[in-house]
Amino acid sequence: MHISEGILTGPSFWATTAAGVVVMAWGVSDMKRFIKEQPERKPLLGMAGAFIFLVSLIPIPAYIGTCSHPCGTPLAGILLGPGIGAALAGLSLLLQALLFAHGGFITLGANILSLGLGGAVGGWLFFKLGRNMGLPLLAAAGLGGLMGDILTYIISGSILGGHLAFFAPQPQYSFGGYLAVIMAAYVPVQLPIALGEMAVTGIAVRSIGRQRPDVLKALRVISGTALAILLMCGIAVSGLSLSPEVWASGSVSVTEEGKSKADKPGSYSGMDEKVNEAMAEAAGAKPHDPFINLENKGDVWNAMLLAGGGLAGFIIGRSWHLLFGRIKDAPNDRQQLKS
Amino acid sequence: MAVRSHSGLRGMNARLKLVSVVVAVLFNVVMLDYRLSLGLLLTAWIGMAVSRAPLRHVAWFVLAPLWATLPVVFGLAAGLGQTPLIKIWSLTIYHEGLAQGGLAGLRVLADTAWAGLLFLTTPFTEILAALRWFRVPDVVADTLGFMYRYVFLLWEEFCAMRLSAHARGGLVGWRREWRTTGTITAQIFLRAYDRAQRIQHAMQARGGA
Repeated sequence: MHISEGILTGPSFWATTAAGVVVMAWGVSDMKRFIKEQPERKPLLGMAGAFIFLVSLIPIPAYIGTCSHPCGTPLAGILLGPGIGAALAGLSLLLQALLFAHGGFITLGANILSLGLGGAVGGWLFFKLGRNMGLPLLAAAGLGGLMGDILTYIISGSILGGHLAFFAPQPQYSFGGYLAVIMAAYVPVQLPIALGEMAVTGIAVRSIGRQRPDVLKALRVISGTALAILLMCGIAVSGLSLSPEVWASGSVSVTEEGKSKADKPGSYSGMDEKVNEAMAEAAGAKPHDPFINLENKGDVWNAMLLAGGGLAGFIIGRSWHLLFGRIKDAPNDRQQLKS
Repeated sequence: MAVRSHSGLRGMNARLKLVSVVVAVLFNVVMLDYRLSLGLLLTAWIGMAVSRAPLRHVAWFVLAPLWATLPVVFGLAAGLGQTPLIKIWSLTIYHEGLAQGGLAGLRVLADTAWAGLLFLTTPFTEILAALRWFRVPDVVADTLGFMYRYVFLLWEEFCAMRLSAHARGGLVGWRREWRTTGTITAQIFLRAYDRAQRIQHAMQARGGA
């Protein structure tokens, strides 16, 4: 989403350019601080800028001097912070104007405001808001991607509408009228793109978090506490495959008297017991142990499962042709031995 | 992309060219005169011709802005003015709006032609050196250099992954396409992250900053 070259003149040009310079100055100071704190990641800024450049290069024409495409800046803002995201958006816009005649020099300030301030800063703000609300990475980043795009459209539409209503000769509508016309024209083109960017941003951040949580930690996308929670979730998910006995052998909870409750395997108090006990008490029933309590028998339950699995595997392997059918004209075992 | 020969403006100082572009763009937006815009446009085209810039690249800097210029012209023609010129269904094109749109279109072409003149006659490293001379912060110039160097590489990686996903049926249906694109985007970012670290180590090993 760029405001095209040549459309802004007079006070709109000067005001947006001045505001763009301020945003860039803030962003560059953030970039300097980033490099000072993490000098080994200096090339990452260029890589991230190249990334924004790529994403925001596919143009689709829209109404009154705009063309639309994924912004890419919300993702950059989420991963690298709002200031750096805004500054990289500005540099990316400069290169696009120079290399591809996309956007332009006159509207550079306006585009920095919409894509940098609206996209990167807005995306980051809503991502943080989502995280503070306790949303998972997928939902929070998706919210950031969606709202970053919507803010970009609102700022672009406002700049364009403001210029046409207040500074262009012989306007036909008021500011509100132009804004309504521009937004009505944006919706069919931009809404699918915003939804797509929401999905892509959410999935990308979640994917990075799953594969390399250390990257998100290093870039301060998630805090140390959040990383610990992520790791705990990973451990919990992998731990679900373990038997209760294995858990019990490692879990030691201390009672008020200072004595360990985990004196023997299988005596731990897990969530099921707590929930079931609470439900039973709420229903007026007295909680009691299962009638057939295999957990007290040590590894009997595991041994039974193992034996059952082995037996089932033997039966299925021996009679697979009855279950799935024999391949026509396929040589049988005797023919294979003969050949 | 810059011309390798020393003909025309190729031998001109990059700093002077950079200042010329900025001044031309500023005059173009402040003066708002179609004769000035036309003059700037012709000057830039003559400059590219004298510098023997490849015709294919020149054509790019002429045709690419047309895509964005047409909505500007028609948007202003329909959105500004009082005197109706043509009525196409419910859309009215106004005389004053068309004049404004034409002027804006001419400004776009002139600005883009000057950008092309700078870019096609100056190697990017010289542009970066000129920016440094004008006290543009190092971090900005370095980042621009990295972006220019790696943008095409990342694009190729993105295309290769997308082609691979397409061959495996990963782009069938919009839901799967979004998911695949998100995963590829994450991979591209992680590759860029790892590559950035390797580059930094390589630079440090060679005595760089």
